[in-house]
Amino acid sequence: MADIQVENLCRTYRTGGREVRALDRVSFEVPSGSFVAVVGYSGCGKTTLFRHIAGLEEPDNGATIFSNGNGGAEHVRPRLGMVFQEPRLLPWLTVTDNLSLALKRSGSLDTGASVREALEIVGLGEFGSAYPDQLSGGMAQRAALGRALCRRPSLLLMDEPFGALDALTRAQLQCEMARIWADRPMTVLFITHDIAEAVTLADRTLIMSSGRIIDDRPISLGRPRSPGNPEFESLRRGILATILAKTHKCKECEEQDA
Amino acid sequence: MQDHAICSDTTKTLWAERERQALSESKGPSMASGVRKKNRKQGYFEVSGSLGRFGVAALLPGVVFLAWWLLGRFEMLNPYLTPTIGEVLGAAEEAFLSGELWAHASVSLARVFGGFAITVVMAVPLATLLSFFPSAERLLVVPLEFIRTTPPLAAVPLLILWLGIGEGSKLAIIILASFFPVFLNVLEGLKRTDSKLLEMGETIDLTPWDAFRSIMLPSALPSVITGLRLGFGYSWRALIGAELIAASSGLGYMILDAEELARTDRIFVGILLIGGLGSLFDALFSRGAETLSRALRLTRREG
Repeated sequence: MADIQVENLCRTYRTGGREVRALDRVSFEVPSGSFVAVVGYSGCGKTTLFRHIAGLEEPDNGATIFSNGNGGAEHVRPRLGMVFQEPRLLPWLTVTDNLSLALKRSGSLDTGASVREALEIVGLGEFGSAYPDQLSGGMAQRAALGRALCRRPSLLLMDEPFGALDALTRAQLQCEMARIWADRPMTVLFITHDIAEAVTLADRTLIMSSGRIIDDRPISLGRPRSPGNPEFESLRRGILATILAKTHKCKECEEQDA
Repeated sequence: MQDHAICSDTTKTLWAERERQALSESKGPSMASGVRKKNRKQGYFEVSGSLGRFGVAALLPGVVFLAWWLLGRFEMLNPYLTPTIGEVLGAAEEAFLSGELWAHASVSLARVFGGFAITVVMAVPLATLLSFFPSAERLLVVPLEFIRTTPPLAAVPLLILWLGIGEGSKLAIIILASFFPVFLNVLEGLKRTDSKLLEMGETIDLTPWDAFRSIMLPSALPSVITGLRLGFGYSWRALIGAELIAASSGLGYMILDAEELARTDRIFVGILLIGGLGSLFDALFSRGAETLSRALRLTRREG
Protein backbone atom coordinates (compact mmCIF):
# COMPACT_ATOMS: atom_id res chain seq x y z
CA MET A 1 0.00 0.00 0.00
CA ALA A 2 1.07 3.54 -0.65
CA ASP A 3 1.36 6.71 1.40
CA ILE A 4 0.79 9.87 -0.59
CA GLN A 5 2.32 13.19 0.27
CA VAL A 6 1.05 16.12 -1.75
CA GLU A 7 3.33 19.12 -1.32
CA ASN A 8 2.41 22.65 -2.30
CA LEU A 9 0.74 21.75 -5.61
CA CYS A 10 0.00 24.79 -7.77
CA ARG A 11 -1.62 24.86 -11.18
CA THR A 12 -2.91 27.83 -13.13
CA TYR A 13 -4.81 27.63 -16.41
CA ARG A 14 -5.23 30.45 -18.87
CA THR A 15 -8.74 30.58 -20.29
CA GLY A 16 -10.22 33.42 -22.32
CA GLY A 17 -7.33 35.76 -21.51
CA ARG A 18 -7.62 35.37 -17.74
CA GLU A 19 -5.83 33.13 -15.33
CA VAL A 20 -7.72 30.53 -13.35
CA ARG A 21 -5.92 29.12 -10.35
CA ALA A 22 -7.11 25.50 -10.28
CA LEU A 23 -4.74 24.42 -7.50
CA ASP A 24 -3.40 26.89 -4.98
CA ARG A 25 -0.68 25.56 -2.68
CA VAL A 26 -2.43 22.27 -1.99
CA SER A 27 -0.69 20.13 0.61
CA PHE A 28 -1.89 17.05 2.48
CA GLU A 29 -0.90 13.53 3.36
CA VAL A 30 -2.76 10.29 2.85
CA PRO A 31 -1.53 7.46 5.10
CA SER A 32 -1.37 4.03 3.56
CA GLY A 33 -4.60 2.00 3.72
CA SER A 34 -6.86 4.97 4.34
CA PHE A 35 -9.95 5.98 2.38
CA VAL A 36 -9.87 9.71 1.77
CA ALA A 37 -12.63 11.61 0.00
CA VAL A 38 -12.14 15.03 -1.59
CA VAL A 39 -15.36 17.05 -1.76
CA GLY A 40 -16.25 20.45 -3.10
CA TYR A 41 -18.20 22.35 -5.71
CA SER A 42 -17.78 21.57 -9.40
CA GLY A 43 -14.81 23.56 -10.64
CA CYS A 44 -13.11 23.80 -7.25
CA GLY A 45 -10.06 21.88 -8.51
CA LYS A 46 -10.89 18.31 -7.46
CA THR A 47 -10.34 16.74 -10.89
CA THR A 48 -7.18 18.80 -11.46
CA LEU A 49 -5.84 17.46 -8.17
CA PHE A 50 -6.77 13.91 -9.22
CA ARG A 51 -5.01 14.32 -12.58
CA HIS A 52 -1.84 15.63 -10.94
CA ILE A 53 -1.68 12.80 -8.42
CA ALA A 54 -2.26 10.33 -11.25
CA GLY A 55 0.59 11.87 -13.22
CA LEU A 56 -1.67 12.86 -16.12
CA GLU A 57 -0.64 16.53 -15.80
CA GLU A 58 2.42 18.35 -14.57
CA PRO A 59 1.98 20.98 -11.85
CA ASP A 60 3.38 24.52 -12.14
CA ASN A 61 4.87 24.02 -8.73
CA GLY A 62 4.96 21.40 -5.99
CA ALA A 63 5.09 17.62 -6.16
CA THR A 64 3.36 14.40 -5.20
CA ILE A 65 5.58 11.99 -3.34
CA PHE A 66 4.65 8.35 -2.95
CA SER A 67 6.12 5.93 -0.49
CA ASN A 68 5.69 2.23 -0.02
CA GLY A 69 4.35 2.50 3.50
CA ASN A 70 7.69 1.63 5.07
CA GLY A 71 8.94 5.18 5.10
CA GLY A 72 10.91 5.03 1.83
CA ALA A 73 9.93 8.00 -0.36
CA GLU A 74 9.84 7.69 -4.13
CA HIS A 75 8.67 9.92 -6.95
CA VAL A 76 7.64 6.96 -9.09
CA ARG A 77 3.92 6.23 -9.06
CA PRO A 78 2.94 3.09 -7.15
CA ARG A 79 0.80 0.47 -8.93
CA LEU A 80 -2.21 2.57 -9.69
CA GLY A 81 -5.85 1.76 -10.31
CA MET A 82 -7.98 4.55 -11.73
CA VAL A 83 -11.70 4.94 -12.21
CA PHE A 84 -12.92 7.96 -14.15
CA GLN A 85 -16.30 9.67 -14.30
CA GLU A 86 -17.12 7.56 -17.35
CA PRO A 87 -16.17 3.87 -17.82
CA ARG A 88 -13.70 4.43 -20.71
CA LEU A 89 -14.02 0.82 -21.84
CA LEU A 90 -12.80 -0.06 -25.31
CA PRO A 91 -15.99 -0.83 -27.25
CA TRP A 92 -14.30 -3.37 -29.52
CA LEU A 93 -13.15 -5.56 -26.62
CA THR A 94 -15.17 -7.81 -24.34
CA VAL A 95 -15.25 -7.02 -20.63
CA THR A 96 -12.63 -9.73 -20.02
CA ASP A 97 -10.37 -8.35 -22.75
CA ASN A 98 -10.77 -4.82 -21.39
CA LEU A 99 -9.57 -6.05 -18.01
CA SER A 100 -6.77 -8.16 -19.52
CA LEU A 101 -5.45 -5.11 -21.36
CA ALA A 102 -4.96 -3.41 -18.00
CA LEU A 103 -2.61 -6.25 -17.05
CA LYS A 104 -0.60 -6.20 -20.26
CA ARG A 105 2.36 -4.52 -18.57
CA SER A 106 1.77 -5.88 -15.10
CA GLY A 107 4.55 -8.43 -15.29
CA SER A 108 4.16 -10.98 -12.55
CA LEU A 109 0.36 -11.09 -12.26
CA ASP A 110 -1.52 -14.09 -13.64
CA THR A 111 -3.81 -12.33 -16.11
CA GLY A 112 -6.57 -14.94 -16.34
CA ALA A 113 -6.88 -15.47 -12.58
CA SER A 114 -6.66 -11.76 -11.76
CA VAL A 115 -9.33 -10.86 -14.31
CA ARG A 116 -11.69 -13.60 -13.10
CA GLU A 117 -11.17 -12.55 -9.49
CA ALA A 118 -11.78 -8.87 -10.27
CA LEU A 119 -14.94 -9.69 -12.23
CA GLU A 120 -16.23 -11.74 -9.30
CA ILE A 121 -15.48 -8.91 -6.87
CA VAL A 122 -17.47 -6.38 -8.90
CA GLY A 123 -20.27 -8.89 -9.54
CA LEU A 124 -19.69 -9.30 -13.26
CA GLY A 125 -18.49 -12.92 -13.18
CA GLU A 126 -21.12 -13.94 -15.71
CA PHE A 127 -20.56 -11.02 -18.04
CA GLY A 128 -16.94 -11.45 -19.07
CA SER A 129 -17.86 -12.18 -22.67
CA ALA A 130 -20.21 -9.19 -22.96
CA TYR A 131 -19.23 -6.07 -24.90
CA PRO A 132 -19.46 -2.61 -23.28
CA ASP A 133 -22.49 -1.63 -25.36
CA GLN A 134 -24.34 -4.62 -23.92
CA LEU A 135 -23.93 -3.37 -20.36
CA SER A 136 -26.05 -0.92 -18.41
CA GLY A 137 -24.37 2.27 -17.12
CA GLY A 138 -23.88 0.75 -13.66
CA MET A 139 -22.45 -2.49 -15.05
CA ALA A 140 -20.05 -0.59 -17.31
CA GLN A 141 -18.83 1.45 -14.36
CA ARG A 142 -18.40 -1.74 -12.34
CA ALA A 143 -16.35 -3.18 -15.22
CA ALA A 144 -14.20 -0.04 -15.04
CA LEU A 145 -13.79 -0.62 -11.30
CA GLY A 146 -12.90 -4.25 -12.05
CA ARG A 147 -10.26 -3.04 -14.52
CA ALA A 148 -8.71 -0.93 -11.78
CA LEU A 149 -8.91 -3.71 -9.16
CA CYS A 150 -7.46 -6.48 -11.33
CA ARG A 151 -4.15 -4.60 -11.30
CA ARG A 152 -4.10 -5.14 -7.51
CA PRO A 153 -3.39 -1.44 -7.01
CA SER A 154 -1.74 -0.11 -3.91
CA LEU A 155 -3.43 3.21 -4.69
CA LEU A 156 -6.94 3.49 -6.11
CA LEU A 157 -7.84 6.89 -7.54
CA MET A 158 -11.51 7.49 -8.27
CA ASP A 159 -12.80 10.66 -9.91
CA GLU A 160 -16.56 10.98 -9.31
CA PRO A 161 -16.96 7.37 -10.46
CA PHE A 162 -20.67 7.19 -9.66
CA GLY A 163 -21.55 10.78 -10.55
CA ALA A 164 -23.19 9.96 -13.88
CA LEU A 165 -25.33 7.10 -12.54
CA ASP A 166 -28.90 7.14 -11.33
CA ALA A 167 -29.50 7.36 -7.56
CA LEU A 168 -30.33 3.65 -7.11
CA THR A 169 -27.32 2.38 -9.04
CA ARG A 170 -25.11 4.88 -7.24
CA ALA A 171 -26.32 3.65 -3.85
CA GLN A 172 -25.69 0.06 -4.85
CA LEU A 173 -22.19 0.77 -6.12
CA GLN A 174 -21.39 2.71 -2.93
CA CYS A 175 -22.35 -0.43 -0.97
CA GLU A 176 -20.08 -2.53 -3.16
CA MET A 177 -17.21 -0.06 -2.93
CA ALA A 178 -17.40 -0.13 0.88
CA ARG A 179 -17.40 -3.95 0.80
CA ILE A 180 -14.45 -4.11 -1.64
CA TRP A 181 -12.36 -1.73 0.44
CA ALA A 182 -13.14 -3.73 3.59
CA ASP A 183 -12.09 -6.98 1.86
CA ARG A 184 -9.03 -5.64 0.03
CA PRO A 185 -7.19 -2.99 2.00
CA MET A 186 -5.67 -0.32 -0.21
CA THR A 187 -5.22 3.44 -0.19
CA VAL A 188 -8.20 5.11 -1.85
CA LEU A 189 -8.50 8.72 -2.93
CA PHE A 190 -12.10 9.34 -3.88
CA ILE A 191 -13.18 12.56 -5.59
CA THR A 192 -16.86 13.43 -5.29
CA HIS A 193 -19.24 16.36 -5.10
CA ASP A 194 -21.76 14.24 -3.18
CA ILE A 195 -21.16 14.90 0.52
CA ALA A 196 -23.33 11.97 1.61
CA GLU A 197 -21.24 9.69 -0.61
CA ALA A 198 -18.05 10.98 0.98
CA VAL A 199 -19.40 10.44 4.51
CA THR A 200 -20.68 6.97 3.57
CA LEU A 201 -17.37 5.76 2.19
CA ALA A 202 -14.42 7.70 3.55
CA ASP A 203 -12.66 7.78 6.88
CA ARG A 204 -11.42 11.29 6.19
CA THR A 205 -12.75 14.12 4.05
CA LEU A 206 -10.74 16.91 2.48
CA ILE A 207 -12.90 19.89 1.61
CA MET A 208 -11.82 21.93 -1.40
CA SER A 209 -12.84 25.39 -2.49
CA SER A 210 -11.29 27.66 -5.13
CA GLY A 211 -8.28 25.39 -5.59
CA ARG A 212 -7.47 25.12 -1.87
CA ILE A 213 -7.99 22.54 0.84
CA ILE A 214 -10.10 24.50 3.30
CA ASP A 215 -10.78 21.76 5.81
CA ASP A 216 -9.54 18.29 6.70
CA ARG A 217 -12.17 16.39 8.61
CA PRO A 218 -11.92 12.84 10.00
CA ILE A 219 -15.04 10.67 9.80
CA SER A 220 -15.03 8.35 12.75
CA LEU A 221 -18.36 6.61 12.18
CA GLY A 222 -18.70 2.85 12.39
CA ARG A 223 -19.49 0.81 9.29
CA PRO A 224 -21.85 0.17 7.61
CA ARG A 225 -23.04 3.76 7.65
CA SER A 226 -26.56 4.91 7.20
CA PRO A 227 -27.69 8.43 6.25
CA GLY A 228 -30.52 8.05 8.75
CA ASN A 229 -27.99 8.07 11.58
CA PRO A 230 -27.91 11.44 13.47
CA GLU A 231 -24.10 11.43 13.59
CA PHE A 232 -23.99 10.87 9.85
CA GLU A 233 -26.37 13.77 9.30
CA SER A 234 -24.42 15.99 11.63
CA LEU A 235 -21.17 15.29 9.75
CA ARG A 236 -22.84 15.84 6.39
CA ARG A 237 -24.34 19.15 7.51
CA GLY A 238 -21.02 20.22 8.99
CA ILE A 239 -19.18 19.64 5.72
CA LEU A 240 -21.91 21.37 3.75
CA ALA A 241 -21.84 24.35 6.13
CA THR A 242 -18.05 24.62 5.75
CA ILE A 243 -18.30 24.68 1.95
CA LEU A 244 -21.15 27.19 1.97
CA ALA A 245 -19.45 29.45 4.51
CA LYS A 246 -16.26 29.52 2.49
CA THR A 247 -18.14 30.26 -0.72
CA HIS A 248 -20.09 33.14 0.84
CA LYS A 249 -16.89 34.47 2.37
CA CYS A 250 -15.22 34.43 -1.03
CA LYS A 251 -18.15 36.27 -2.57
CA GLU A 252 -17.92 38.91 0.16
CA CYS A 253 -14.17 39.22 -0.53
CA GLU A 254 -14.88 39.72 -4.23
CA GLU A 255 -17.50 42.35 -3.45
CA GLN A 256 -15.07 44.15 -1.14
CA ASP A 257 -12.33 43.98 -3.79
CA ALA A 258 -14.76 45.36 -6.36
CA MET B 1 -32.49 10.62 0.59
CA GLN B 2 -31.09 7.26 -0.47
CA ASP B 3 -30.39 4.58 2.05
CA HIS B 4 -26.73 3.90 1.37
CA ALA B 5 -26.44 1.21 3.97
CA ILE B 6 -29.12 -1.09 2.63
CA CYS B 7 -27.40 -3.85 0.72
CA SER B 8 -29.41 -6.96 1.49
CA ASP B 9 -29.35 -10.26 -0.43
CA THR B 10 -32.80 -9.51 -1.89
CA THR B 11 -31.56 -6.21 -3.29
CA LYS B 12 -28.53 -7.91 -4.79
CA THR B 13 -30.70 -10.61 -6.42
CA LEU B 14 -32.95 -7.93 -7.89
CA TRP B 15 -29.95 -6.07 -9.28
CA ALA B 16 -28.47 -9.23 -10.78
CA GLU B 17 -31.81 -9.98 -12.42
CA ARG B 18 -32.07 -6.45 -13.79
CA GLU B 19 -28.56 -6.65 -15.23
CA ARG B 20 -29.15 -10.03 -16.84
CA GLN B 21 -32.21 -8.48 -18.45
CA ALA B 22 -30.17 -5.48 -19.69
CA LEU B 23 -27.62 -7.82 -21.26
CA SER B 24 -30.17 -10.04 -22.97
CA GLU B 25 -32.02 -7.02 -24.36
CA SER B 26 -28.84 -5.53 -25.76
CA LYS B 27 -27.97 -8.82 -27.46
CA GLY B 28 -31.14 -8.53 -29.52
CA PRO B 29 -34.40 -10.39 -29.95
CA SER B 30 -32.80 -13.86 -30.16
CA MET B 31 -31.58 -13.57 -26.56
CA ALA B 32 -34.42 -11.55 -25.15
CA SER B 33 -37.89 -12.81 -24.37
CA GLY B 34 -38.86 -12.93 -28.03
CA VAL B 35 -40.11 -9.36 -28.25
CA ARG B 36 -38.66 -7.72 -31.31
CA LYS B 37 -37.86 -4.06 -30.90
CA LYS B 38 -39.65 -1.87 -33.37
CA ASN B 39 -37.23 -0.39 -35.90
CA ARG B 40 -37.30 3.34 -36.22
CA LYS B 41 -38.87 4.36 -39.50
CA GLN B 42 -36.10 5.65 -41.75
CA GLY B 43 -38.17 7.24 -44.52
CA TYR B 44 -41.43 7.20 -46.41
CA PHE B 45 -40.32 4.61 -48.97
CA GLU B 46 -38.75 1.68 -47.18
CA VAL B 47 -38.22 -1.69 -48.88
CA SER B 48 -37.30 -4.59 -46.64
CA GLY B 49 -35.64 -7.90 -47.52
CA SER B 50 -32.55 -8.49 -49.64
CA LEU B 51 -34.62 -9.42 -52.72
CA GLY B 52 -36.65 -6.24 -52.42
CA ARG B 53 -33.53 -4.10 -52.02
CA PHE B 54 -31.91 -5.79 -55.04
CA GLY B 55 -35.09 -5.12 -57.04
CA VAL B 56 -34.98 -1.41 -56.21
CA ALA B 57 -31.25 -1.20 -57.03
CA ALA B 58 -31.78 -2.95 -60.37
CA LEU B 59 -34.81 -0.86 -61.35
CA LEU B 60 -33.08 2.12 -63.00
CA PRO B 61 -30.40 0.13 -64.88
CA GLY B 62 -33.22 -2.19 -66.02
CA VAL B 63 -35.20 0.74 -67.42
CA VAL B 64 -32.10 2.07 -69.24
CA PHE B 65 -31.33 -1.34 -70.76
CA LEU B 66 -34.98 -1.82 -71.75
CA ALA B 67 -35.06 1.59 -73.46
CA TRP B 68 -31.76 0.78 -75.18
CA TRP B 69 -33.13 -2.57 -76.34
CA LEU B 70 -36.39 -1.02 -77.58
CA LEU B 71 -34.53 1.74 -79.49
CA GLY B 72 -32.39 -0.90 -81.15
CA ARG B 73 -35.37 -3.17 -81.81
CA PHE B 74 -37.20 -0.40 -83.68
CA GLU B 75 -33.99 0.70 -85.47
CA MET B 76 -34.02 4.14 -83.91
CA LEU B 77 -30.26 4.11 -83.15
CA ASN B 78 -27.54 5.42 -85.47
CA PRO B 79 -25.46 2.21 -85.96
CA TYR B 80 -22.23 4.22 -86.37
CA LEU B 81 -22.68 5.99 -83.05
CA THR B 82 -24.65 3.63 -80.81
CA PRO B 83 -24.70 -0.13 -81.22
CA THR B 84 -27.62 -2.30 -80.18
CA ILE B 85 -27.46 -4.48 -77.08
CA GLY B 86 -27.12 -7.51 -79.30
CA GLU B 87 -24.09 -6.03 -81.08
CA VAL B 88 -22.43 -5.17 -77.76
CA LEU B 89 -23.04 -8.68 -76.41
CA GLY B 90 -21.66 -10.10 -79.66
CA ALA B 91 -18.52 -7.95 -79.37
CA ALA B 92 -18.13 -8.99 -75.74
CA GLU B 93 -18.43 -12.66 -76.63
CA GLU B 94 -15.90 -12.26 -79.45
CA ALA B 95 -13.40 -10.43 -77.20
CA PHE B 96 -13.94 -12.91 -74.40
CA LEU B 97 -13.49 -16.01 -76.56
CA SER B 98 -10.37 -14.62 -78.19
CA GLY B 99 -8.91 -13.98 -74.73
CA GLU B 100 -8.44 -10.30 -75.59
CA LEU B 101 -10.91 -9.07 -72.97
CA TRP B 102 -9.25 -10.94 -70.12
CA ALA B 103 -5.78 -9.93 -71.35
CA HIS B 104 -6.65 -6.22 -71.22
CA ALA B 105 -8.65 -6.50 -67.98
CA SER B 106 -5.89 -8.46 -66.23
CA VAL B 107 -3.26 -5.89 -67.27
CA SER B 108 -5.39 -3.04 -65.88
CA LEU B 109 -6.16 -4.96 -62.68
CA ALA B 110 -2.51 -5.90 -62.15
CA ARG B 111 -1.52 -2.23 -62.58
CA VAL B 112 -4.18 -0.95 -60.22
CA PHE B 113 -3.51 -3.54 -57.52
CA GLY B 114 0.26 -3.07 -57.82
CA GLY B 115 0.05 0.71 -57.68
CA PHE B 116 -2.50 0.61 -54.89
CA ALA B 117 -0.32 -1.75 -52.84
CA ILE B 118 2.60 0.70 -53.19
CA THR B 119 0.27 3.50 -52.09
CA VAL B 120 -0.79 1.60 -48.99
CA VAL B 121 2.82 0.78 -48.11
CA MET B 122 3.75 4.47 -48.43
CA ALA B 123 0.65 6.27 -47.13
CA VAL B 124 -0.26 4.21 -44.05
CA PRO B 125 3.16 4.34 -42.32
CA LEU B 126 3.63 8.02 -43.25
CA ALA B 127 0.21 8.95 -41.85
CA THR B 128 0.92 6.90 -38.73
CA LEU B 129 4.24 8.65 -38.25
CA LEU B 130 2.72 12.09 -38.74
CA SER B 131 -0.08 11.35 -36.27
CA PHE B 132 2.63 11.18 -33.59
CA PHE B 133 4.45 14.33 -34.80
CA PRO B 134 2.02 17.21 -35.42
CA SER B 135 4.96 19.55 -36.17
CA ALA B 136 6.04 17.36 -39.07
CA GLU B 137 2.49 17.53 -40.40
CA ARG B 138 2.67 21.34 -40.40
CA LEU B 139 5.99 21.16 -42.24
CA LEU B 140 4.49 19.01 -44.99
CA VAL B 141 1.13 20.73 -45.27
CA VAL B 142 2.01 23.09 -48.19
CA PRO B 143 3.69 20.55 -50.51
CA LEU B 144 1.08 17.92 -49.69
CA GLU B 145 -1.77 20.33 -50.36
CA PHE B 146 -0.19 21.36 -53.69
CA ILE B 147 0.12 17.76 -54.87
CA ARG B 148 -3.33 16.87 -53.56
CA THR B 149 -5.10 19.58 -55.54
CA THR B 150 -3.23 18.83 -58.79
CA PRO B 151 -5.23 16.31 -60.86
CA PRO B 152 -3.03 13.23 -61.50
CA LEU B 153 -3.85 13.30 -65.21
CA ALA B 154 -2.26 16.77 -65.46
CA ALA B 155 1.02 15.10 -64.58
CA VAL B 156 0.75 12.45 -67.33
CA PRO B 157 2.85 14.33 -69.96
CA LEU B 158 5.60 14.92 -67.43
CA LEU B 159 5.46 11.36 -66.14
CA ILE B 160 5.74 10.01 -69.70
CA LEU B 161 8.81 12.19 -70.26
CA TRP B 162 10.37 11.05 -67.01
CA LEU B 163 9.28 7.41 -66.89
CA GLY B 164 8.37 6.56 -70.51
CA ILE B 165 5.11 4.93 -71.57
CA GLY B 166 5.90 1.70 -69.74
CA GLU B 167 4.54 0.51 -66.42
CA GLY B 168 6.39 3.15 -64.39
CA SER B 169 4.19 6.04 -65.54
CA LYS B 170 0.98 4.04 -64.93
CA LEU B 171 2.04 3.13 -61.41
CA ALA B 172 2.98 6.75 -60.73
CA ILE B 173 -0.48 7.90 -61.88
CA ILE B 174 -2.17 5.34 -59.61
CA ILE B 175 -0.04 6.37 -56.65
CA LEU B 176 -0.74 10.06 -57.23
CA ALA B 177 -4.47 9.38 -57.46
CA SER B 178 -4.81 7.08 -54.48
CA PHE B 179 -2.18 8.37 -52.07
CA PHE B 180 -4.12 11.30 -50.64
CA PRO B 181 -7.46 9.64 -49.91
CA VAL B 182 -5.60 6.85 -48.10
CA PHE B 183 -3.09 9.11 -46.35
CA LEU B 184 -5.57 11.76 -45.22
CA ASN B 185 -8.16 9.27 -43.97
CA VAL B 186 -5.61 7.22 -42.04
CA LEU B 187 -4.15 10.41 -40.52
CA GLU B 188 -7.57 11.80 -39.64
CA GLY B 189 -8.71 8.48 -38.17
CA LEU B 190 -5.64 8.21 -35.96
CA LYS B 191 -5.79 11.86 -34.87
CA ARG B 192 -9.44 11.55 -33.92
CA THR B 193 -8.83 8.75 -31.44
CA ASP B 194 -10.74 9.57 -28.27
CA SER B 195 -8.19 11.25 -26.00
CA LYS B 196 -10.02 9.87 -22.95
CA LEU B 197 -9.31 6.32 -24.13
CA LEU B 198 -5.66 7.20 -24.71
CA GLU B 199 -5.50 8.68 -21.23
CA MET B 200 -7.00 5.48 -19.84
CA GLY B 201 -4.25 3.59 -21.70
CA GLU B 202 -1.67 5.78 -20.00
CA THR B 203 -3.09 4.96 -16.57
CA ILE B 204 -2.78 1.21 -17.20
CA ASP B 205 0.86 1.69 -18.25
CA LEU B 206 0.42 0.86 -21.93
CA THR B 207 3.50 1.64 -24.01
CA PRO B 208 3.00 3.95 -27.03
CA TRP B 209 3.10 0.86 -29.28
CA ASP B 210 0.48 -0.92 -27.10
CA ALA B 211 -1.73 2.17 -27.21
CA PHE B 212 -1.35 2.41 -30.98
CA ARG B 213 -2.20 -1.25 -31.53
CA SER B 214 -4.94 -1.62 -28.92
CA ILE B 215 -6.61 1.80 -29.01
CA MET B 216 -5.63 4.01 -31.96
CA LEU B 217 -5.69 1.45 -34.73
CA PRO B 218 -9.07 -0.16 -33.94
CA SER B 219 -10.52 3.30 -33.36
CA ALA B 220 -9.18 4.58 -36.72
CA LEU B 221 -10.16 1.50 -38.67
CA PRO B 222 -13.46 2.82 -40.13
CA SER B 223 -11.64 5.89 -41.40
CA VAL B 224 -8.78 3.75 -42.74
CA ILE B 225 -11.21 1.55 -44.64
CA THR B 226 -13.00 4.59 -46.07
CA GLY B 227 -9.63 5.90 -47.26
CA LEU B 228 -8.74 2.57 -48.87
CA ARG B 229 -12.11 2.40 -50.57
CA LEU B 230 -11.88 5.96 -51.92
CA GLY B 231 -8.24 5.48 -52.91
CA PHE B 232 -9.00 2.33 -54.85
CA GLY B 233 -11.85 4.02 -56.72
CA TYR B 234 -9.67 7.02 -57.58
CA SER B 235 -6.78 4.87 -58.73
CA TRP B 236 -9.07 2.81 -60.98
CA ARG B 237 -10.42 5.94 -62.63
CA ALA B 238 -6.99 7.53 -62.99
CA LEU B 239 -5.53 4.35 -64.48
CA ILE B 240 -8.14 4.16 -67.21
CA GLY B 241 -7.45 7.84 -67.97
CA ALA B 242 -3.73 7.13 -68.19
CA GLU B 243 -4.28 4.11 -70.43
CA LEU B 244 -6.39 6.26 -72.74
CA ILE B 245 -3.48 8.67 -73.14
CA ALA B 246 -0.43 6.44 -73.30
CA ALA B 247 -0.57 2.65 -73.25
CA SER B 248 -0.35 -0.38 -75.48
CA SER B 249 -2.51 -2.63 -73.30
CA GLY B 250 -5.26 -2.43 -70.68
CA LEU B 251 -8.95 -1.58 -70.79
CA GLY B 252 -8.31 2.11 -71.50
CA TYR B 253 -6.12 1.19 -74.46
CA MET B 254 -8.80 -1.28 -75.66
CA ILE B 255 -11.35 1.55 -75.79
CA LEU B 256 -8.94 3.87 -77.61
CA ASP B 257 -8.07 1.12 -80.09
CA ALA B 258 -11.79 0.45 -80.70
CA GLU B 259 -12.37 4.15 -81.36
CA GLU B 260 -9.66 4.19 -84.03
CA LEU B 261 -11.32 1.18 -85.68
CA ALA B 262 -14.78 2.81 -85.34
CA ARG B 263 -15.94 -0.18 -83.25
CA THR B 264 -18.44 1.49 -80.94
CA ASP B 265 -19.65 -1.92 -79.81
CA ARG B 266 -16.17 -2.64 -78.37
CA ILE B 267 -16.08 0.81 -76.78
CA PHE B 268 -19.33 -0.07 -74.98
CA VAL B 269 -17.87 -3.43 -73.90
CA GLY B 270 -14.84 -1.61 -72.44
CA ILE B 271 -16.93 1.04 -70.65
CA LEU B 272 -19.35 -1.52 -69.21
CA LEU B 273 -16.47 -3.71 -68.01
CA ILE B 274 -14.62 -0.76 -66.42
CA GLY B 275 -17.77 0.40 -64.63
CA GLY B 276 -18.70 -3.16 -63.64
CA LEU B 277 -15.28 -4.02 -62.24
CA GLY B 278 -15.06 -0.65 -60.41
CA SER B 279 -18.48 -1.18 -58.84
CA LEU B 280 -17.64 -4.78 -57.94
CA PHE B 281 -14.48 -3.81 -56.06
CA ASP B 282 -16.22 -0.90 -54.38
CA ALA B 283 -19.01 -3.23 -53.22
CA LEU B 284 -16.43 -5.72 -51.93
CA PHE B 285 -14.63 -2.96 -49.99
CA SER B 286 -17.91 -1.66 -48.64
CA ARG B 287 -19.08 -5.11 -47.54
CA GLY B 288 -15.68 -5.92 -46.03
CA ALA B 289 -15.65 -2.62 -44.15
CA GLU B 290 -19.14 -3.19 -42.81
CA THR B 291 -18.33 -6.73 -41.67
CA LEU B 292 -15.10 -5.61 -40.02
CA SER B 293 -16.74 -2.66 -38.28
CA ARG B 294 -19.49 -4.90 -36.97
CA ALA B 295 -16.99 -7.55 -35.85
CA LEU B 296 -15.00 -4.89 -34.01
CA ARG B 297 -18.20 -3.30 -32.69
CA LEU B 298 -17.20 0.07 -34.10
CA THR B 299 -20.65 0.86 -35.44
CA ARG B 300 -22.26 0.84 -32.01
CA ARG B 301 -22.03 3.22 -29.13
CA GLU B 302 -18.97 3.42 -26.92
CA GLY B 303 -19.08 1.85 -23.48
